[in-house]
Amino acid sequence: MNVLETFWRRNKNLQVFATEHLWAKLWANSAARSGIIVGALLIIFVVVYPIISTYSPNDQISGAKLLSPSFSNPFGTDQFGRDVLTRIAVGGQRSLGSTVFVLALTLVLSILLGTVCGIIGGIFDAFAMRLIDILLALPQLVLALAIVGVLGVGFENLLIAIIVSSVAFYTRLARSYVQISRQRKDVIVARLSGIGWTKIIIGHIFPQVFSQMLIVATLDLGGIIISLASLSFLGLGVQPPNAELGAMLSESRSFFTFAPWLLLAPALAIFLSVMSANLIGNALRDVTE
Amino acid sequence: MKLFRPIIKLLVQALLTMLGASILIWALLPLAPGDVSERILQSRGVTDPTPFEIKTVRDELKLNRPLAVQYFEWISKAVRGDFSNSFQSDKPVSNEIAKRLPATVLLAVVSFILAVIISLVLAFVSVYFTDKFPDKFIRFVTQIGASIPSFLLGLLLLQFVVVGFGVGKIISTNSVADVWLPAVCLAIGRALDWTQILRSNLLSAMSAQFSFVAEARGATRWRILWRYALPNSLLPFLTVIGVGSGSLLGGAAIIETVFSWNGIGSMAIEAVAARDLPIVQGFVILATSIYVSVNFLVDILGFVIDPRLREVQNR
Repeated sequence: MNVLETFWRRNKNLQVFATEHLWAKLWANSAARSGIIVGALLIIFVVVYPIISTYSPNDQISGAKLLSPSFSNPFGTDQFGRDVLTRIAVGGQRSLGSTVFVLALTLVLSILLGTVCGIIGGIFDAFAMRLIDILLALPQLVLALAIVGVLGVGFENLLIAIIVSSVAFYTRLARSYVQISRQRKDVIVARLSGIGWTKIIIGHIFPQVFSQMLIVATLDLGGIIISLASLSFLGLGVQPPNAELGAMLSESRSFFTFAPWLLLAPALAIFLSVMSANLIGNALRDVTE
Repeated sequence: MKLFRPIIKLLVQALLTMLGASILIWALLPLAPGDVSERILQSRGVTDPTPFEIKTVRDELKLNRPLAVQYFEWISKAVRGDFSNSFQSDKPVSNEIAKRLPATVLLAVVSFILAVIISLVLAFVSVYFTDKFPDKFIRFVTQIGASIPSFLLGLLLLQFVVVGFGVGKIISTNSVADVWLPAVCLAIGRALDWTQILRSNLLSAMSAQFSFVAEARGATRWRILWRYALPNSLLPFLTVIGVGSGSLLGGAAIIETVFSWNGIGSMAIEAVAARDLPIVQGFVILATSIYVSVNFLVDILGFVIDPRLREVQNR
């Protein structure tokens, strides 16, 4: 039988995956509901608006610099005459897309590493854990800064830095979940019936560990959005003229006094996305506890 | 001496961690893509270095020796506070750090104290009025506040408090009088986090049996909170503060840049942008040693305030 099919069949009755039960519980929580609605609207906005907008995010219109919000430019224009709403949509797409990308890659790497450590154990595990202890001795943002310093400034390097600086913590967590799973009765019974580790890992350990890690990652969504925006604001991520919420703020810093929409519009976008992520994450943790 | 053994154990652990971290931080230089000497020349403005210039720099830095020897020399200098010279200015990194460290220490200490006070007060009020208006209000504010990144809060404060009301300055002068705005900005993120954690710890202590017994003996809610719940929540709170000191160090880099505060955080950001690795290394090793020492102190404090831990360690 196909491995993926087995994976899916086993997961159908798992709590966290797509059971109506969980969605119903989340939906019943008013905080989570507002988080989901705001998040969904934001995602629709950043996906659809760049397509339907009549402006291109990097088009500089010389006669339209620093226009106040109006019907044709709902959030005004910046110092180069670019439409702020379009840039927020494009920048938001970049921020949200890369946040999901960072978390997905972190999850895959840490679950693989954590499983290897938790199953093989021994010297390999001891070595990996000491390395993780050392990595965790560096404050996360400081480690990310060091990695950007080594690789050089740029959006791809910033993503690598954030992934590397979060992988240590996630791996340790995944390993402890794997070790807990190993003690579960279904795993012991499977082991006693002579089923190989590969099958046990795919069928019994991964689904459980994955769903637990997914909850942690959801709790971390807001934090990753903040890190990306902060480091881009410092000029270490997206480079001009490309739009990103943090980079937009630092680019137009000197114009805030004459054009407050240049501050308020990206600020609102960051605030709404982080808040929606936090609301969903906290509710998901409370519901599954 | 009951505390002696666990403290020695913790100290050895902390030193080993620092040793490992120092290898990692030293490795930033050889790990960086591209030739080190070429990059030094580039950051000094030589865009197209000749092979002779490259060789001069290589010999100057003795880059031809084995890596282990290079590490040993680097670490033996680093423990004496010498982090070699900046790529850009060719001046000792330690001078630059010494010049800018006091500003960061001022900022970090003030915001640390602010964060502890704010979170203690908020958590106390919140638990004292559990599920009444003040509690609901504080929970709402912590939820909203956790969604505002510190750099954004800084920009908003600068725009609406400094420019709007004329309080404080946009370009800080690193003086005690100017520290409040950046310190508040840096403190709030930590304070709101800690409030949530301390609140849930206090709440679970309030529903524990000892609180129930105290209530039966006629202790007031305030006394139970202060005398019974707080000491029992102090240990996890301390641990959280220890871990939070790390994000305070990283956050300082961001806040210093927003407020043009001339400390080692903004120095590190400038150095990262210019890929001036010796300065980055100096900053990272300083931040890591502070972080490790704070957590070491937190662990020791844990032994001092919680007799149960001592029992376990000495068994």
